[in-house]
Amino acid sequence: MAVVKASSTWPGPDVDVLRVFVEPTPLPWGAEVADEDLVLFRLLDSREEASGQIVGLEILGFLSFDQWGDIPESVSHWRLAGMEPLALVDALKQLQREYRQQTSAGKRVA
Amino acid sequence: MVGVYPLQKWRRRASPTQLSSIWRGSKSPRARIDRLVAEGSMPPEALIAAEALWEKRLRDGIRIPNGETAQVTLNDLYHLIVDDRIWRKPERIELLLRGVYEVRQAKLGRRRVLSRWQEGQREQRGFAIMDVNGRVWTMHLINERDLRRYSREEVLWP
Repeated sequence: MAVVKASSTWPGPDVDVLRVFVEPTPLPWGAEVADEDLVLFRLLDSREEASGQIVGLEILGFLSFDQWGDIPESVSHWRLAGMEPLALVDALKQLQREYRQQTSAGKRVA
Repeated sequence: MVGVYPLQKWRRRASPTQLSSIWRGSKSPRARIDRLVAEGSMPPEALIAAEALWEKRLRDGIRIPNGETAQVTLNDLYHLIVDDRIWRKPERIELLLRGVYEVRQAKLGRRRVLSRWQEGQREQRGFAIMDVNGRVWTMHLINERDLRRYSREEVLWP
């Protein structure tokens, strides 16, 4: 199975928005609303519509996100930094578990 | 064309803290911006222009049409300009916020503000997410069809 290298940004629990990008990220891309809390980043077509290949996504409220079925299935596995290649949903779930643990550990320390 | 001076200037301005990751696996938005600049995917002038615009127009907040003030911190700016349609025209941050025509209830107390504004002959549409304190979490340019997907959310204003 093909493996897509990807990166992610997450400002932290105060601004709980996860963004994932294929690397290197093809340009130009735009946003397509997939769900209230899910935006897909797709390549723009000649009419500047975000209708092409998925080059990333944004999840609003990542720590509590559970609408995994809204994320399109990918024919590729995604390799996020520090992780083995996984199906995109599985990679995101793993990341969510880690952030939930880090966030709750941070709260205990505080 | 990226000149030598702006790149050197950018390198001096990027602090080691800003370049490091804060959460395992993910980078901060600023770190991604720094990498895009280092790789030549974003001209350093674009970052400098966005920061200058924030200093001049955004740092004290933007009053949106429903009367509240949207807050964009410098860190929020780095998050917003990760979207290349924003960093190529950072003035869109203010245009989007000033063009708000509807506020809807999103999850966990967040608000979704829907916006439209004119750029030359073209009407642009977009949305932003604001938290309960008015802090802007994200924003995107989207089309009319996508705006309709939010019709299930309760209208808070007008």
